[in-house]
Amino acid sequence: METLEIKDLHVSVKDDDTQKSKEILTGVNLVMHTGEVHAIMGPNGTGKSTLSETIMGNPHYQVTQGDILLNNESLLEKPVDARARAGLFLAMQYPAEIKGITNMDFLRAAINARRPEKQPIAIKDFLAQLDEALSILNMTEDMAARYLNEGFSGGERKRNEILQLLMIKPTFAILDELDSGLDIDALQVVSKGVNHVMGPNFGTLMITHYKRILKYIHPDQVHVMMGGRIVKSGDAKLADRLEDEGYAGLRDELGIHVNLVDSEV
Amino acid sequence: MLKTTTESLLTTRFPNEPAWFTDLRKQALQKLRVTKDPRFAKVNYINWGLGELQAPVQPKRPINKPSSDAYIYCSLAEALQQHEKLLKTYFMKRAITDWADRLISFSTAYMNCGNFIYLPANTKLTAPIFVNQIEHGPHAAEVSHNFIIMDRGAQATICVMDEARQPTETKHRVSEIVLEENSQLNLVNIDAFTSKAAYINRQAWIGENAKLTWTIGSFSSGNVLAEMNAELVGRRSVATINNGAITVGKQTQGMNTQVTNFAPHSIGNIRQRGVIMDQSRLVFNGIGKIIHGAHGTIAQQENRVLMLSDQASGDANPILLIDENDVVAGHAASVGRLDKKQLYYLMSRGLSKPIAKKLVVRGFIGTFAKEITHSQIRKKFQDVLERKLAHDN
Repeated sequence: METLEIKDLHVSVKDDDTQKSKEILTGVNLVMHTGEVHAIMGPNGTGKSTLSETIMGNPHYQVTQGDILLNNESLLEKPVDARARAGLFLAMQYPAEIKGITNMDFLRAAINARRPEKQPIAIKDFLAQLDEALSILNMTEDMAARYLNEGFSGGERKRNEILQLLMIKPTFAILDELDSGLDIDALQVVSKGVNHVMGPNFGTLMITHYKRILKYIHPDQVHVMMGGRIVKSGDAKLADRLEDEGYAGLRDELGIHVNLVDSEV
Repeated sequence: MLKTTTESLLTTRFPNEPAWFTDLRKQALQKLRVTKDPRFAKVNYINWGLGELQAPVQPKRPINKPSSDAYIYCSLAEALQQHEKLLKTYFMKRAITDWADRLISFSTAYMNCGNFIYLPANTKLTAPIFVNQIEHGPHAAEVSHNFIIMDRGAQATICVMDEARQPTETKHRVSEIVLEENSQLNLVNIDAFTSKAAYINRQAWIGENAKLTWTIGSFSSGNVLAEMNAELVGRRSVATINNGAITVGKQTQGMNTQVTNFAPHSIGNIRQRGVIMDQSRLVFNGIGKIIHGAHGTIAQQENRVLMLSDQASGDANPILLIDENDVVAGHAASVGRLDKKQLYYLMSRGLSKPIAKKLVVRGFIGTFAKEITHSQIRKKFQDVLERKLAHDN
């Protein structure tokens, strides 16, 4: 069993224009193991995406306090590519478009980055894996030949992120708002892909606004974030309650003084 | 060096060189005195040593090339002996007609080697011709003049590349490419010159209904000044020039790529893509020219440059010179950087920074490789591209 641990994590972001730092995360604590599904819910602007990008190692975010540990080893000094090779994966909300690189070339390079330099994956094995992954996601073969995310619709991009997840087989995957911009059919397909990689050697952290996706990917634990930290954790029922009462209800119950960006109920 | 007399200066000769040919050298030498350096916008090549005579080198005895019954492929020296009539017809009569600048004058006066390829009318080759430039002494500075002549209705694929060899100070290479009517040529140049400075001048003349598909991999390691020019002389002639370039280290490559539509209903296409690394410099001048009377023509061009270093510099200059109304002409140009977001995305899947960069470069330039239909040539193109990228580390 492997463990990803977030300890008292404080993160600031520097505004590109004003050069002022603003603290977004104010002490996040979270422990997750392989074999578990965690969901983080929370209102807009509360730092959910900051948390996922910081775990992955996006240089835009500065850790000012606390630690991120994979199997008790700190990841803070490691750049993003080393974290990825150590087993982390982030399905991004807004993946970059890169013209000139085909999906297929990219996937192969990503797989080979995890293998010894002299032992790249055999083409035959690669294609077999790719075929299987494409069929799980109802994707056609021409997706593999297209340039990376270029001209992809919102739904295609999400699928493509999960295609990478299926091919790369990480230890811990963070799925940042996988459900946003997906219709019901696409949501089911994408969830099917995630469920396919589930198992004792894989852990997931889902970031979401809605309960909707939790119908397809069942969480063991649900955490609620407000004001840059986790304010409540519970089982799947917590998500039901949020759906009924909104985030404001929980905020008032806990006596937290944060402004919810979009709802002042 | 111009203080002595013309005659005594001009010591370069092919064995048993015909008098008319020597006269051309002398005329070129006269021109050398009065012509100016060719204009390459935003490229400063004054100190490259081009157009200056290194230790004078006599041409080597020609080696017999693996010629075939279907076509002629031999050295220029040999062609002067055995195919003089053909040479008289084509030597600076079609593709190049004038010693317009100092470097072409120099290259003509001091030419010391070259290849000659001639495909007779209606010869259709299925297997490609591979040309490995160029026989001359190990330390000799190449000043070559090369021919590819496609007679009427001929069809062929030709790949010209350089095996790595002892680097020389300079290299001057002039090529004339002639496509007579209804002929078709797929031409692939894979340039991996190791000389400190190279002057490349390639001129194509394209007759009626003829079609040139031309791919150039500009992967040299030294400074390069290159002129690639296609003249659409016949009606409905077509030329596509794809030029992929990479510059590394402190090198500079300046490239003028031009297509001129002389004839009605001709189609010209220029696509250039360059990647600039380290402290290098790359300049693309794409020139689309439509001559008055060439109605119903198409002239398109695209020049794209990708900078992978803060200390690199580059230019992509599209120039359209149009003297006719009834035409379709367009251009696109961009100078871009690999942005942080893209790099982060690639690295977030485990790719190290150098590999992520390579992947981007391979994708950017490799587009042209993918369009090369012949697999063996495609592989060679990709291999040299990979070598150039490996050089980067």
